[in-house]
Amino acid sequence: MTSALLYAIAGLALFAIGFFGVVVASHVMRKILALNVMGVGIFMFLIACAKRNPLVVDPLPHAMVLTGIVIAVAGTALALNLMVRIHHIDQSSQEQSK
Amino acid sequence: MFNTLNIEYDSPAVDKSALSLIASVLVAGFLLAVTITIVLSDKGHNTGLAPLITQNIELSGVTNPVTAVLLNFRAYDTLLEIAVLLVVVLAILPTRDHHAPFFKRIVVSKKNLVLSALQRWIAPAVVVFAGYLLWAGAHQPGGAFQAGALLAGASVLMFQSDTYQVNYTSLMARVLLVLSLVVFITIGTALIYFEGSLLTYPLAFSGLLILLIETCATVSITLALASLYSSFIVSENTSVTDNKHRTIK
Repeated sequence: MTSALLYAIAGLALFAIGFFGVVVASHVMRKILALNVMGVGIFMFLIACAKRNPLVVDPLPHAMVLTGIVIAVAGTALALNLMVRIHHIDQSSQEQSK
Repeated sequence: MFNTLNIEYDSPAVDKSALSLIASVLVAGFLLAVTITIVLSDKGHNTGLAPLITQNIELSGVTNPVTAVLLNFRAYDTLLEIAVLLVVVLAILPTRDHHAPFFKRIVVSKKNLVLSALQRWIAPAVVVFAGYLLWAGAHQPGGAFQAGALLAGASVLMFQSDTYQVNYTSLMARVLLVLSLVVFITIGTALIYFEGSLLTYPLAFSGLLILLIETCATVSITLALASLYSSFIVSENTSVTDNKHRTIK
């Protein structure tokens, strides 16, 4: 068993933990965090895949992960913003119903 | 703020967490089985695209393979990535008050000494190190995104210490936000005329063009990430005023 395989399995474990969080969590904030954990697991798996051959490092997955991190940050920011907006709309409608 | 958040779905009467646990264990087991099968089948002889990239690295104008992939072999990805970042910023930023100045110094009566001292020490070092990362991207790990993330971190520190305020909806900020995409697309389409296809750099200028694109990308990414961070504070204030308007109506 190589260290790359160990990292790949750890990435899979992170993905599964994130998946569990997405399904179970009822709060949107927790869901967003769980999605991020899933994403990190995928990144870790890809990085581990770059070193399947112990002698050669494949730079392509590294570039993909670098792109993916930026997209993940952008997606998280959008999701969090929507969450805050929903919260405010929710609050104002509750005040109106009172 | 997040302690009081209460956005919850109506949860069913049955506790479904046990079922979800079984489901995620099954998913993990399936993925594990697939991974081990793949690893056993190629026995570590699969090198992916590494040989192809090392063969063509001299044509790319840079010596770091990751930068070569990001900005030459797969420049499309980076172009679209910058576009995605811009779309998110456009979706989040409220389009208002664009006549206000780009950069404003706030006079704070009660300064947070630790934060302002930290900012004074760290900000110049971060700027220098970001410049180094940008330059180092050509031959070792580094590049526009790392430099941009560092600078954005410095601006978050600046934002926290409440001494300066950047108006991300000003004309200057908008120009800087779209700068990298405009430069990238301009270079890409100009190369159709000169070289015959999109984003195919001429061999003699490829290093220079990559550095130009990366520098513009650093500026745009810094501003985009910093504006995404500040949007939470901005959106909180605007939403409150929005709600007031709504109740008046």
